Amino acid sequence: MRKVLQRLGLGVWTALTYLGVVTGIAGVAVLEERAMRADLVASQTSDAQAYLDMLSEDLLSVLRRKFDTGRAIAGAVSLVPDINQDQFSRLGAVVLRGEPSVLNISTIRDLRIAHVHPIEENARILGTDLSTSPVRVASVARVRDTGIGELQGPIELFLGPMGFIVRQPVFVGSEVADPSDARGEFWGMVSLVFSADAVFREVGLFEPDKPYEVAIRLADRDATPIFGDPAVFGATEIQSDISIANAAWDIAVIPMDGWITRPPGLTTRRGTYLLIAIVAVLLTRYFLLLRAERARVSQQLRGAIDVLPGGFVVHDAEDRMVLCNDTYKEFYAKSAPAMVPGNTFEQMLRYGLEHGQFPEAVGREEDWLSERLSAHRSDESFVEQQLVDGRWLRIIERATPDGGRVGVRLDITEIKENALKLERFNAELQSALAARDEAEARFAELSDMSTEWFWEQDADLRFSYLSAGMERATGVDPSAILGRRRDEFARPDAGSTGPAGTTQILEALEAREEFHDLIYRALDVRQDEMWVRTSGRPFYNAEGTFMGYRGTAADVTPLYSALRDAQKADRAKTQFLNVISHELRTPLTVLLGFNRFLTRPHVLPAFKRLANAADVEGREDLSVALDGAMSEVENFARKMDDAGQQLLTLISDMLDLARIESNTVRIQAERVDVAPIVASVVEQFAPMATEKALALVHDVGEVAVYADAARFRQILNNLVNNAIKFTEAGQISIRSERVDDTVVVHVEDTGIGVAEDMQPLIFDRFHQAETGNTRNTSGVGLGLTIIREFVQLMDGEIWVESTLGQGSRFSFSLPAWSDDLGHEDLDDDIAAADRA
Amino acid sequence: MLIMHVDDEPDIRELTRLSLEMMGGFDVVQFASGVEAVEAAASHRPDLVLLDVMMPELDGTETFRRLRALEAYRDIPIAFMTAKASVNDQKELLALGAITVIAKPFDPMTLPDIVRSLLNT
Repeated sequence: MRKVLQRLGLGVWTALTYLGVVTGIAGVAVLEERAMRADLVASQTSDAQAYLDMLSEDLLSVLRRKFDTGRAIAGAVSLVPDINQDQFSRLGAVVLRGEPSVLNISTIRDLRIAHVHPIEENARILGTDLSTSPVRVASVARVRDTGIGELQGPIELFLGPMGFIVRQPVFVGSEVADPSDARGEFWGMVSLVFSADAVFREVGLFEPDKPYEVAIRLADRDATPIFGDPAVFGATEIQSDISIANAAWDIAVIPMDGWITRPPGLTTRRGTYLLIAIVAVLLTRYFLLLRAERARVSQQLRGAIDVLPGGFVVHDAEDRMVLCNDTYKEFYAKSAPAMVPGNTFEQMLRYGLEHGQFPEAVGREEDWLSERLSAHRSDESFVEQQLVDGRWLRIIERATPDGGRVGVRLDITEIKENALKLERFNAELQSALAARDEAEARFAELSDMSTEWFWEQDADLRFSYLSAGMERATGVDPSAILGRRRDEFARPDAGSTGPAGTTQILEALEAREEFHDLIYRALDVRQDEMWVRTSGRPFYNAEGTFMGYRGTAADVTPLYSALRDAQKADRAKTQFLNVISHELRTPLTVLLGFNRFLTRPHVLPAFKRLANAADVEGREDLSVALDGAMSEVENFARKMDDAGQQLLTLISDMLDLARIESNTVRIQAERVDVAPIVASVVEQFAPMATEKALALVHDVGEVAVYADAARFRQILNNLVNNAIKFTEAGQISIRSERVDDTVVVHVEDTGIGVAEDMQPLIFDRFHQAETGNTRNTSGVGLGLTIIREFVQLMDGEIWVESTLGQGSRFSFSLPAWSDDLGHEDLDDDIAAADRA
Repeated sequence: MLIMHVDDEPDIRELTRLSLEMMGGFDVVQFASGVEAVEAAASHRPDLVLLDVMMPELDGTETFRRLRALEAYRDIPIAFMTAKASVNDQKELLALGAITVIAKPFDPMTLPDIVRSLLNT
């Protein structure tokens, strides 16, 4: 069954629905048909009964008239007991006028027919003895005995056809006609014979178009048929009986065409019901489809509401919630338990207030509630609301035509945040614009006042802008420069006296690189010489396309002239110092050289000869005197030697300083092993230390530095020399240590120390120059200043730690040598220093 | 051993001669200028030449070149003696091919030792 339904595409309930509809309509049809049939029967029965009643009445009326006629004749005869035939005929003629069905009337006396009318047709029956007919005898006897008239028949008449006979007794001698009271003397009786057919015709039973078939019979034991087909009695219920005097008849009628059992229009009606059933099925189908469609639409709507990005809620006219989607519940998670269909909006709000759903309402719950409800109840409202988790909702509520409310909740957190961001951004923008305006104003003002100027070159490197400072500073009309390229008026200098700025600028422009503080000579823009210092950097548009250069410039002609003069002077000074140095050294060489002989007078030939002579002559006193003289000479010579050496050092220092100042110091960095140089320096100074009874110790490991060996030795020499010089007792130690990527060499003594306030100053050449006279630092010279310069040129540092009266520790660091590390950087620096 | 010494300063020539002859026991031939030295070069066959640098007319470096240009002096060690004591100057001089640079002032007591060590190398 289920499979059949499935094949038809019907569900069980759908099938049952169709079945119910069809069965219902069929049931109605059957009931109505049954009612129609009942109506039909009732109607036919009623009609037939009416006809039967009318027929019975008519028959009874006819028969009564016959009885009345007989009684009238009997009355007339009783008045004239000796009536003769003629009188009887006249009587008969009067009485029978209008009675065509009466065949004859007669009198019977003593079972013989005494009179008859009409005589002409009935003359032959006069005198007929009735005793031959037992039926007649019995009838006569009953009438005579009862004194009551009687109807006899149907009976075969003497004259032939079947007929009925009404007999009325005739009593004479009584005033009263009614024989039951006082009948008087029985005279005989009157017979009235009439034809059955004539009677039946009179009541219409022979009408050809009579609607019913009629059957009449006697209600006696034999049910003798009187009229019609006796079978009618078996075929109809519509029967009645009539009785008059002794006679009782049964009458039955049946429609001529029988009973109609099929109501008229049944087929049409059935067709109508079939039609109704079909229509009903179609309507049911339509209804079911409609319902399915509605369910589908409802489902769709529900689904659509559920997947809406926002919250959705519907309230009815009484403000009770009808439905809401999951997003709505998610938004109001704390109120969710109150979101039950049937709860009013106010109930939900109150629940939310009690459970901390609305942070904005805290502290003013009732006011908030009334505002919220007021907005909710207006025809249309837009409200923004912050949730407890920080999100923002936009609430849109509208009245529906049925008086309810539809509400939509949209998450506008992002919009809100963006708005806030935008606001912040705007504020920042405003502030930035203000700052920019201020900067522009500042720039314009400074630019107006400045003797430096700002320039701009376009992508083709033609000058497109020059600030007012240019003309003010140089006196050059900007039109002489605008639109021109730099190389048109800044050509590389001929000769080597100027800086290489022009070339560097042109190279930088070509390479789109920044350049800083380059000095070039501007040609053809001013009559007199013009030197310009400029810096520039390329600029690009947002797409990264090169747009040109911007930069600053200043007229440095006076400065540059001064600088060149200074450089010339510097070079002259160095030259001078070189010459002086040489010129000083030459006499010093002589002075010191010969003095060296005086420090060892015994090697001198004259002294040798004198000593020999004293020996030869055995002059002890002379030998002693000679020794004393030599000793004195030696002593003085040593002092001269010391002073000379000091002078020599000063000269060297002055030269070094001059070179440093003129940047002509050449540093050749390479791997330098510290230990051998330290050992060599210690060896060199050992005699000096021994002389002062100082211990000169060293402790350096297998370390190497990246330095210029000669400068390294010079630094160490200087420090050890100073240490011995300013230490009267104790020791001088040389140590090294590795600190990160550097090697630090310490030269520590137990000498007089350096006052704390002097420590930062002792490397300062000017300080030395200023204080040299007031402190007993003779011999220090410019050495510390110079070695600091050397240390710095080799990427190192030098510093002193000292306590006055206890000793000093001078330390310097140099880059540690590493086979793994390249030292190009230092080379570059040193090379740069060389160039400079 | 013959040492040729060229210096325009008479005092230094004397000091050098004292040092080398008296202290070192060398034979010394001296000239007061580069020109003289070059002119007389052919008549001497020194084992070592000591050249001053700052000299009038023909300075030490030029004298060095001219001596070196002589076939006989191609392999004779030549040392400079100079008051141009800077490291740079010394390096330039060494770069010419000098065996060493002796700074002035020099110690006349130790000069013979230096010369001896140069001759041994």
